Amino acid sequence: MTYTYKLHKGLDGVDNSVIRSDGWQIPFDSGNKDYQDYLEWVSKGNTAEAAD
Amino acid sequence: MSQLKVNAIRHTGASSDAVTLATDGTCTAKITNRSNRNLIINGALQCNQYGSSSGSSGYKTVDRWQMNAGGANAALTQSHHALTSSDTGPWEKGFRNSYHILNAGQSGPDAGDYLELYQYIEAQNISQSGWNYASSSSKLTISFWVKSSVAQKFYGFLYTKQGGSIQKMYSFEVSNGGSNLTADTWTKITHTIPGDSSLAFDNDNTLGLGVGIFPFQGTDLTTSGHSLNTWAAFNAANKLPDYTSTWWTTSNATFEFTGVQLEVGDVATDFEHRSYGDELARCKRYYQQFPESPTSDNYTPLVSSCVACHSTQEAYWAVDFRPSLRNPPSFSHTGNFRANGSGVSSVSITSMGIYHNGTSSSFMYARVSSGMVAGVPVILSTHNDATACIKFDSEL
Repeated sequence: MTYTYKLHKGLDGVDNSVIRSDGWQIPFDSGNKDYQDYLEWVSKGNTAEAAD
Repeated sequence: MSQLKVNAIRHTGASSDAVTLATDGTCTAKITNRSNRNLIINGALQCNQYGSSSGSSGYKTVDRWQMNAGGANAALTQSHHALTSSDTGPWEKGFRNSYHILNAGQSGPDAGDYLELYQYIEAQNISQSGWNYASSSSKLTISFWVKSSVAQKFYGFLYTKQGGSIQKMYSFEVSNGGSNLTADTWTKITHTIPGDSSLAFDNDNTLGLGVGIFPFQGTDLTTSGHSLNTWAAFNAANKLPDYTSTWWTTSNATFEFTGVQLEVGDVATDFEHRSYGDELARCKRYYQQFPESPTSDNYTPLVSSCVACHSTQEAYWAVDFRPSLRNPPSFSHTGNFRANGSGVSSVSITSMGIYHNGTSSSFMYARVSSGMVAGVPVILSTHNDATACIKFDSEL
């Protein structure tokens, strides 16, 4: 399944996660399997939508 | 008082001592039924926090086990399956559930087709298991019950990962003593895996060992000359011998297993049965949801340590994970929720998320269109919805 992503900010205003198109919020953490999938998606030239 | 003075105790048919006695008054015993010896979590398939049945790949039903499928052009349904007294073999051994796959029947097969059932084990659980993995004389033994509706051989597959990269692979036959499994009959599989000087595992919480039981692999992933029962450099084009495709192409074919145990040593000991509570606690290192399962009360409170309205539209709250998760989790929610408090009367929550994330707790937010009161504490709960839940996923 192909997903898209949207950046999400912490309370400090810094992007620290992404919202995947199926609704899962994924933290920027190298040990998270969903974040590894997001990085692979980025490596293919894709870009996440900016945070609100 | 009489004394038995010997240096060792050995069975008459054994080639090595079961107990060795030392001159300092101590002994070393080769005990096979130690506790906490199963490196597999949820090996008896007791726990299914994710759900009961799903037609999708991934972690969808039983905890810690996932279905990876590719190329399928007909339905593949994974489920948490209840055994009955007709399941001769595992039933008498105390197993009451299996991981069950229903295959509607694929056309082809195409070379890129595959169906893999995996559990991933943390690297530190292997590096600290007591397995001297760099020595060929030190062994792991895997055992499990398996049943297929189609009489054929299948294969098991292990791979290692270190430093974020896949390194080595190992394959073995899932058969009835070298012959096809008997259709619709449970068979106990045992296989001993040697260490190898090329093996290495990190001592951390990343994926260290993948343990797979494969119903099918297409020829893009297999070769006719593949060598079983030996560690080799990972090669995605040579994972297994060429696979019989009968099960893959048979309408309504089923494949299921239970009682999976992976243990250090060269003997398959009796399965280490754990209570449901013990097993669920182990599973919760990788996935937690609140409420844990559908309830008869449609207004179940969500787990939290403190919830306070920050504004008319947003509340902050902290969720505590018990036990701590393996890694900061992904988060999702499904269903309807509400907030209740003094002057905050059953306000529907429109969205939830994480501001800051951790392994033992996360800083959450819950948003509403309007109706919260800044500074007022509220209770968050499901909202007339028996299946609503929030989910935290830290799987490998």
